[in-house]
Amino acid sequence: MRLLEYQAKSLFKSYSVPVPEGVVVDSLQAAVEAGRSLGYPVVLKAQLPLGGRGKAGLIKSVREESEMGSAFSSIFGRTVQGLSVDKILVEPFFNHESEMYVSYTENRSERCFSIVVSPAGGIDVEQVKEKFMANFGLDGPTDEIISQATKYLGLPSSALSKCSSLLKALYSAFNGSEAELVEINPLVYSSKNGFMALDAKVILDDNALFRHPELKPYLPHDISVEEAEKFGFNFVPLDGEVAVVGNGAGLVLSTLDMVASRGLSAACFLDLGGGASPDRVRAALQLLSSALPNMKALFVNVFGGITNSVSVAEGFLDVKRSGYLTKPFFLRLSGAGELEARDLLKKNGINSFIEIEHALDALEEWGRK
Amino acid sequence: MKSSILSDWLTGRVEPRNAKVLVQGITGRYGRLHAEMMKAYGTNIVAGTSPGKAGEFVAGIPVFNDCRAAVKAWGAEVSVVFVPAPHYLEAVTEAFEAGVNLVVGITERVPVRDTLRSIDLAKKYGGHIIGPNTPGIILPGQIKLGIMPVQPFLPGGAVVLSRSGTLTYEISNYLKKEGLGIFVALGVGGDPVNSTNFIECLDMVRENPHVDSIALIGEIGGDAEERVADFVLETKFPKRVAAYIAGRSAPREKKMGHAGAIIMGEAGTVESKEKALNRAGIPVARMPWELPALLKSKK
Repeated sequence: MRLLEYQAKSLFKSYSVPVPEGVVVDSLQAAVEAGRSLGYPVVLKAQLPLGGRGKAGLIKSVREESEMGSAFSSIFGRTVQGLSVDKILVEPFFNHESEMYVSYTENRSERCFSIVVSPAGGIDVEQVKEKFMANFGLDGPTDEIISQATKYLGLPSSALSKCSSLLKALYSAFNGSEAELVEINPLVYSSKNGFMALDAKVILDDNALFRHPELKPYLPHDISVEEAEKFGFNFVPLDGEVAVVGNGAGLVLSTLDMVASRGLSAACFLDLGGGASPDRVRAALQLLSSALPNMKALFVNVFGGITNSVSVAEGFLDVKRSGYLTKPFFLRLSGAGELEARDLLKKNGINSFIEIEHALDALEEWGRK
Repeated sequence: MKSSILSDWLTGRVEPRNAKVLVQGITGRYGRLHAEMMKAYGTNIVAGTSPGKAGEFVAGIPVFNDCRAAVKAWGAEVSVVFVPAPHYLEAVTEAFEAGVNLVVGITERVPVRDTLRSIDLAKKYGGHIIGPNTPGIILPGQIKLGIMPVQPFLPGGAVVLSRSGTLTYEISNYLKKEGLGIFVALGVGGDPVNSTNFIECLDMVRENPHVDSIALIGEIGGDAEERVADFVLETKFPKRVAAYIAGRSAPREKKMGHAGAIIMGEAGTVESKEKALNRAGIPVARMPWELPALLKSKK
């Protein structure tokens, strides 16, 4: 899970990583008050868990109070990638001499952690050739690695020891919260104010959150996702028209691609997990009708294995009878019990498919209408 | 290559049929169900563990409090782990300390740092872990260690390596329809970090005389598929490899079910993986049902 910038900064602060003293606001009045208390100039930053906010016009400098109204209204309430801006972070503007990049990240392929630093901050680090990277294990980075990373940043010698303390503090934040990534881009330095994390990005390991009650206040409340988790579903709302449901994450992911290949877009990713019993099928369809009012159709792809297709078919019959299923739906049940499941549905007036391509053909035909 | 149970099996040196297997977390709903199903397939399950449940039986399998007691009584060398995520690391540690050499970690939602610690342990003991978050491993006609259904898996010469469970079943079923059998199907796991990865598996089956081709089932996120491409090129891998990668239409920066299935910036896209694989001469199927034809065509 990715934290919002202000949350990431509050986490950093608790580990003594220097961050600006900002104020989070959700109204123009509060923004004006924040400007007065912080002193102009200030920066307004939309709190969305997305990269490239600067380019998207979601970060604005405000030199004086008279500019606050237009700057605030140009950001607040805007919708980007389906997310609406309902919080703005107001921070004092910082003069600085250099912009750097530093991060700690989980290194999937090497099965360890990595530190990455670059004297060229403020831009996409993937585009940067000039960077230092070192791998280390569960014991954390050695003093040698910290010292090499510090030297690489090309700072004045008076700043070196402060910089290595900062890198150590940032590692404590990374390790202490069991994050997958902590990143400061840009990290700025000035001889007057020292170091400051102007931006902050933190991605937590969702699977480790059970050990971190202290991180609970940071977690977002998405009711539909929480409802889905109660049943052990994996639910990702998307912005298309066809709800895609199946058993198994890989199969559902693959089904999204199949639906897209027929010129349609997915309204969600819903993995029922193991055991698509009637209860679970009903819960899934209830969830979809409340969480996705705009969905136009449903595409279900189940490969029966341990879960017999017949029990999934029974779930659908049950749901159809109770009236939850008002949208057109396309049902592919394959694997164990496939013939029996198809016959059972047919007897009850429901068309289903064994071959995925036939189900997709039917969906495509519906899409053309 | 240093000998371990997994390498003995994957190189084709040893038939796994009679390996003695332990099930950790056997009294849970899931552990019980799959212990029975594995046993029904012919897997030699000799014991199970569950703290405080010593003396009970599950499907005729004796239950012990811990691995040490189970291994002492029955000599298991392989363990299939069903315990909840908060106890996963403890369970794996206990297994290796008791002398188990191969652990199959079915457990989902294991913190990455626990996975990393368990990998260090496996190295220390000269064993392997498959997973976590894996459907397991099946050598059709020999042994089933995991939660996969058995219908899709015919014995034969293909190796299926996958980051996904149901896609493995689906694609193995397509192989079956084309008359292609499987030597081993192994799920490396859906997490960002896999205890045994694609390359280690490929290296083990490299000279296996029973194996003729490899079906690689990947998905968005990370660079495991790109690394396979480099490995196949650099080591002149001698067997036919074909791939399918799920997630072509997935949005960026969103976890799509599996913890490992996430595109970060430009990294982890299907396009990047496809490009790397094609450069290594590995064809990539657009749809799952196209994979058998790619495996059959001559290299």
